[in-house]
Amino acid sequence: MDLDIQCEEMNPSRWAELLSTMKSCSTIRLDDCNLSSSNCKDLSSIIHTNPSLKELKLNNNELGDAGIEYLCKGLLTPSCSLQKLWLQNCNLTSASCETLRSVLSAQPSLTELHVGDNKLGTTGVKVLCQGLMNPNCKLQKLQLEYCELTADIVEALNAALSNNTLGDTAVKQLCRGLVEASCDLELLHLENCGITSDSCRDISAVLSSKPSLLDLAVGDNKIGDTGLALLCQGLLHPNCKIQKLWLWDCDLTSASCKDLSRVFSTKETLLEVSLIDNNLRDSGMEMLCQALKDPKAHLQELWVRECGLTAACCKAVSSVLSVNKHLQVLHIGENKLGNAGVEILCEGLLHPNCNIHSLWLGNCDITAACCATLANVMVTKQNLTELDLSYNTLEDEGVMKLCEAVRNPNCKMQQLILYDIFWGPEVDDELKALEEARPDVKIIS
Amino acid sequence: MTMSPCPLLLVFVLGLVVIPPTLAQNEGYEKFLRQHYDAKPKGRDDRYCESMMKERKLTSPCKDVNTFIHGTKKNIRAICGKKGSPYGENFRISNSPFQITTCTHSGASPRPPCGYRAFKDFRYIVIACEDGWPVHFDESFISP
Repeated sequence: MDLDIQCEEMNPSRWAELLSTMKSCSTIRLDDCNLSSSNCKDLSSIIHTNPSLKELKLNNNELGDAGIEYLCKGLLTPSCSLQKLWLQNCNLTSASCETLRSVLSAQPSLTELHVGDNKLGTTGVKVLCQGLMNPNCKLQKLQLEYCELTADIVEALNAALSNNTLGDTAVKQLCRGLVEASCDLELLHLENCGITSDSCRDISAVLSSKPSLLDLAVGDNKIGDTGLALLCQGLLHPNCKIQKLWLWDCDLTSASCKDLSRVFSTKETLLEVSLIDNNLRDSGMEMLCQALKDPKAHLQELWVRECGLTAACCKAVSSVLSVNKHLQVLHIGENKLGNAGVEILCEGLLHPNCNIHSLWLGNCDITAACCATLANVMVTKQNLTELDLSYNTLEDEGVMKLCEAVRNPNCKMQQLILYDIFWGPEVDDELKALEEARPDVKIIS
Repeated sequence: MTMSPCPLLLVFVLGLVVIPPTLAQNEGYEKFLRQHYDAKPKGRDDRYCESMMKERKLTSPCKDVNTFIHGTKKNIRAICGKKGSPYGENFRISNSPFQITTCTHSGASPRPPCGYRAFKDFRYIVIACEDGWPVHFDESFISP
């Protein structure tokens, strides 16, 4: 049984009512419910008396350090088998960290702890880390975003460190610690940490020594082509079983695509890649496409939004779509593909081998003239369930053609995204009518 | 003396005729306000964008660009009238600049949690009006 509540004011009678249901819940979510430390007393006894409780979400409530103290009383009982705990933005300080450390050291059932967006500070997190080092601690995911950390953190962490000013020195030390530690690191998120290519050799070492590492995010760091080349050494290592790779806004150019192509066509474990906002250009994209035609390329999601692409690379992309059955999500928005480019893409989309179910073409310089082709894809390609055409000047004429396609029962779309497109009242009326004719199709604007 | 009731009756009937179109327009205006109106912004930084975009229900999926206007409803609406001029085929441009914050989607996934970067500006804005009410903000117009 699950309790899932967000943004609800709790008066005493409602709270009492919920408490009785909570006694038998396996997951409880009470985000944004204006809870305070006094509610934590009740929650503590729920945790104490409900051995089937696995997940507890209390984000965005002013629980404070006092509240955590109460909660932890319940969390420390031997019968507690809580696995996941969310306490984001709960007004916690470093004072909570000692309490949380004691939980980490005593509760092997806890595998996820989310304490981002609290002013824990470096000292507090160091205390938390002591809990992590305890042999009883089996934590796999620790989320610390927006906790006001500084470069002082040096201990080995299995953590989400994004959006903290760590810099190369700290990250290098972190990586060396990670390589030595026996932890089975699954996830390493170092986005916007102020790192450069200087850290990449050390991150590469983590990649080649941790087959448990499935998820690497170094987006929003200026690592450049030099850094990427170093990362690829680790990525190509046989020990590396990486599945998810986020390299958005990393200052990469087409020069990176040679190494990336080798990763795409050899790393069968790789499922999801983000290269958003890197100047890959048509030449770079063509190299990646060549690799995606390799039978060993099992990539399912590729995001190349805002990569400086034009209609010139669409032929290569289209030929991937006609042979590659693995690719399911393609985000190629914010590139000047134009009607010509999109028409070529649609040819590939219509190929029976193509299994794309989610396609993002926002701000691609598409106009009404292309909508007939897009409408045809919508009613022909039964597995296409999500299409984004936001921010294109489709005009009333174009949008009405899309609406006509939605009306067709052969159209199996679940979500059609049309943000920032100007249309007149006639289209407004048609969209309203579609809400009733096809309630299964969500049209978002 | 017997004349006075008639003008009153006339006004009442006119009132009945005028109301329905404005009611229909309000849906577009309400949407415009939800997406683009924030008179009293706090911070106008990346975190402001992240919380506003979420609060105004523009994160399922993450809307790539969205501008919040920090002016009064009165002044914004006036762009449809005295405080604006025609722009292109369907739009109107404000006669005076407005304080705005444009939120641009940063990050990888188009799904929440959505990361945003804030860009503060003070510039002329372009909107579309219907029957005197703002109903659309032109994100592509950025004045020099």
